[in-house]
Amino acid sequence: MATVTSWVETLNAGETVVYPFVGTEWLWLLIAVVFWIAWHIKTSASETEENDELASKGKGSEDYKNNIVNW
Amino acid sequence: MENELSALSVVFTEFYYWVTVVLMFLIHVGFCMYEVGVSRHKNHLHTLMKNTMLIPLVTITWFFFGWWIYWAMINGPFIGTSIMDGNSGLQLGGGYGANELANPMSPIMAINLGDHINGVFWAAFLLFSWTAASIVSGSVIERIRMSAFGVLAIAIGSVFWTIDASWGWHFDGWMVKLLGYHDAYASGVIHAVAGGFALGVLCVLGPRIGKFASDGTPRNIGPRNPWLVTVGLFLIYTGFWGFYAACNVPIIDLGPEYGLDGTYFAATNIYVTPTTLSGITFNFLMSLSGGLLAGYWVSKGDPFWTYSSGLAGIITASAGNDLYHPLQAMIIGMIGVYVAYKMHYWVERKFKIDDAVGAVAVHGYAGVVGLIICGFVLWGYPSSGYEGYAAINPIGMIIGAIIMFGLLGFLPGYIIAKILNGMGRLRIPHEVELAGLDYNYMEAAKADEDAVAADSK
Repeated sequence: MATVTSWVETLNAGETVVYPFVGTEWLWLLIAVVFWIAWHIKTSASETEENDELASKGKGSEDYKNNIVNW
Repeated sequence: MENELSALSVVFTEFYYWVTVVLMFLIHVGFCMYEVGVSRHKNHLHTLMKNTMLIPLVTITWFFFGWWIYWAMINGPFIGTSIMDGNSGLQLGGGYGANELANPMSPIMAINLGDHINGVFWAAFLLFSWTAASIVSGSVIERIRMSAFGVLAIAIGSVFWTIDASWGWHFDGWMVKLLGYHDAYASGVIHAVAGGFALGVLCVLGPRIGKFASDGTPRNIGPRNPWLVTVGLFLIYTGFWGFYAACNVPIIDLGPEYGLDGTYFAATNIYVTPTTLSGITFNFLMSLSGGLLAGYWVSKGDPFWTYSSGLAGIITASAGNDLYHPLQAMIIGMIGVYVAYKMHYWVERKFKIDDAVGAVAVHGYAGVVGLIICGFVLWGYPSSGYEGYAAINPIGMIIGAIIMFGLLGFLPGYIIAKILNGMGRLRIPHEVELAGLDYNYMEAAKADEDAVAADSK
């Protein structure tokens, strides 16, 4: 839904808010906060999984040198 | 905007802060290069991602609540009283900058044709937040979980530094009014608090495997790529120019602010007391030079410490660099570097603290020294042009240093790290630390290289 349909009318009326869906800011905030929390949960779980998998390989502190690739 | 002159003034201020944000972005580029340069080959990518991902994590939380906290907490609450409206609780109204504007649902927290300042001012403060989180990031490399660091970055970047800024880096902050706290370019409100926070985390996190011999003797796990470290630190220096400019209000008429006869247009610091961009340029360069000279001397020419000491010199002098003479700024920078360097190795030996990049020293100790020196050198100066404020004084600045480094830095860092550690979420497993955080990436890249080579024969 367009907040501005005519710049002349908007500026003459002294309107300053021009983004779409004015009045629904709370909804966008809610979506963003839910995503933010979900991101932390999901990435933390995936990090644990990756760490467990790597730990099970039992690699030593110098083994990474076998995996250095050419530039 | 009423006429050409007021339009020009507003748009100049808008553009001024926008430029500082772009310059300060280089601080983060520098931190990324610096940390990767210090880390070992097997941890490069994880180190890079850790410092990169703090950007979105701190940014969105700064939008959600960080900016709101800055404007809400100026009275403590219930310690001071606002000069805007006599309120002593949470500051939820009372003129420009008051809190209805920083609410994430406010129409002014977006493109708004009636406002040219909120977004760029929000962003300038946000870049300080990234810096605070980045300071912590460097000290904990090669053994912290990414998810734990994310929580810690949000805590320092969007909560604790913004509380201290509200208290001591706001024209109406209670520490300025009651203690005479003065910290023009953030020796305490960014550096001491982030250094203290890093130390709190390090106490719980522990050292990297092999950092200390069995008899407790520290070993040097030095920078692996001196060129990344060099360019990284030069970029941090460069971004620091933007940081200094962002700490100023570029143009304001102090006449009506202070009840003067007539107009008095000036640049001011964050406390709305006058200074000049030209003057602080003297002091920036002289304190940088003092830091480099002292660092080269005390470290016997160690490049890592010499570069870091340039930063530490600026950080030490920053609290009073709006008023110091350039030679004072230079000498104060030298003192801060000497103390920070000695403290780093003393704390390392005594408490077995493994601060991988010396962040606690360069930011924390140097910041604290800068606050204390400022209390003596600027003793008696008014902390504000408004009536009823305490003058700058040593006791107020020492209390301020304790609040910054200890109360809002070390303590929250220690407590949050303890909680994360208690949940088993702070440190990576021993086997992963040995293998290296990038082991899986490197193994996959090697397999790809071998496969391509086999097909290319």
